Amino acid sequence: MTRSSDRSSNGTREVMVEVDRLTRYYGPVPAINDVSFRAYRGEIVGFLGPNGAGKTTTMRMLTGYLPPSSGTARIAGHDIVSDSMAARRVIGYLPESTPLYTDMTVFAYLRFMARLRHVPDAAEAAERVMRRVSIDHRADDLIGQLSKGLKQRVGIAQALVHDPALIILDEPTIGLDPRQILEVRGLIRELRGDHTIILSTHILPEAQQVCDRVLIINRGRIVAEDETQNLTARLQGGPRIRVAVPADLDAATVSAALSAVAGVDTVAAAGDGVYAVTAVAGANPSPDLAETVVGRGWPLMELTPVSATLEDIFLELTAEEPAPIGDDTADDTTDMEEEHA
Amino acid sequence: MRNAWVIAQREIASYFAAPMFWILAGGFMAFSGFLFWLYINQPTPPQADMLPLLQVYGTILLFITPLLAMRLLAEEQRAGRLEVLMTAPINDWQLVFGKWLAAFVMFTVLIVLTLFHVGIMHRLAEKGVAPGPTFAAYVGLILLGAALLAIGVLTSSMTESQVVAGFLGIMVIMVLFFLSIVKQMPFGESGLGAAVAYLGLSDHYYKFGQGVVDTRDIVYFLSLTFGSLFLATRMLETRRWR
Repeated sequence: MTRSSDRSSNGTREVMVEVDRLTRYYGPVPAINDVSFRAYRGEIVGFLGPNGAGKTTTMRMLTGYLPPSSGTARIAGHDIVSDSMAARRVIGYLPESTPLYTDMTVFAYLRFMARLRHVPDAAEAAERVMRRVSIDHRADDLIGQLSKGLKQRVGIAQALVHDPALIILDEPTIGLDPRQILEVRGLIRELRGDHTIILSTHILPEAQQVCDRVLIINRGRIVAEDETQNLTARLQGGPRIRVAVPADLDAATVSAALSAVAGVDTVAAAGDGVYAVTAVAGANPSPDLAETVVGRGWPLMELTPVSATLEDIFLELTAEEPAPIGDDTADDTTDMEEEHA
Repeated sequence: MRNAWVIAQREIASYFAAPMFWILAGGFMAFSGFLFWLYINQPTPPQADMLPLLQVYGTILLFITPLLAMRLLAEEQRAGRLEVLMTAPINDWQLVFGKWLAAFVMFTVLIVLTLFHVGIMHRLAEKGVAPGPTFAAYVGLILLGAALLAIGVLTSSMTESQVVAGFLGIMVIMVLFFLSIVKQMPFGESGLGAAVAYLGLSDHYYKFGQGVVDTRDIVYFLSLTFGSLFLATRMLETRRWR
């Protein structure tokens, strides 16, 4: 929430990640096709998309694991192709499977990762990062003995141990139980501000809760990019209202009555006396709807405005035939980039 | 070098923590100790000559080194940790060399332990053990181990399965070891036959066992070591293009 005001008041925020027409082919098929975006210092950016959309491929290119087929990216000014080592130094990365050395203790593993990352005092850095992710009470336990949630914290700790400018987390909550998911999301939110974070997820509420900005990726392309709350607002169209009356009333009669109200665009009977009303953009037919229902002598059980969730947007954008929406958003993306520039 | 040493250090700690090394070390010590006991208890009293024995130790290494090295890269691939290592600010060569270095250190520990046998022999024999040829035989053992471990690292880079890496390693080493036999075949005297035979491990190794340190043999083993490690590095690199 404070993020967006930051952004509007300060247009010159430091660019941490600048992705420039990144493309990667597996054989003849592009897994990622001409992707460009930016991430700013202190921002949490979410990659949202169905499985196989190209999220992991993009992350692997940013971290220097896979070379791009064409295009490039700069991390804190270091080019990932021509200056890979310098770029890798400022990145912390947790792959999706959370690969750890199960035969090492938490402390020994984090000290090893700190050494690998050229941290001057590796033991001290390991201690510090263990406190930061609240795993210090298990410092001397073997990683193999930890629960999945604690392993995930160790995985995040190794991505943090060298205090990187950019942290890349691939599906950081996958395979965790609901309580662990909340813990990990909380941890990621705590890191907000100190580091730029790019995370991928296919869980929509997660992107909504954790991220400042969301890039929706489908079939190797960015189909939408905006701040989380704008994205929700943008595709909402006219307001939606949920109206409930007793189920024994004739659906056709009620639909007809509701449709007649000024400002109502469509009415759909959802069964059990529930009707989904879409209003014309800019109109608010709620008072008239209430009056109509009550005027007919029907008991009004419920009248609720419904806001479209990211889920609706997501489904709309990633549907099999996304042609019209895809074109729209492609234009929007270009607009946004011009704003940044 | 510092990066490679960080990798090697972790790996050495891991060797000591896992049963595989202790089983191999125990097996090697028991077997070589048994052979040594047989050797000094021969009906005709033994000469103070370690060389035949050290040659036999060398052949045990043909089986032990692939088992020691098979885990190094295969397990990293299987567990997905290779992705973390290959996105750390170290290059692929440092990673491969560090892994090999760890196995080499463990191997050297095993070889140093056989110095007990030399010590006992030195006490038993009237004139003591001749230091020169014995030293040459040990140089041969160390160089042989270095090359065999590098081949093990190479086969370990090719697969996610430790078992496949181990078997492949033993097979490659067997073929390479007995390649020298080619020269005893009818066409062995031809240029090609001689060239193939030259690539065989055994002749180069046995020369050390005869107390001869020849620069050509040292070059052979070092080439084999670094060539295999270089190929392993390229194998890892191909992962980036798959």
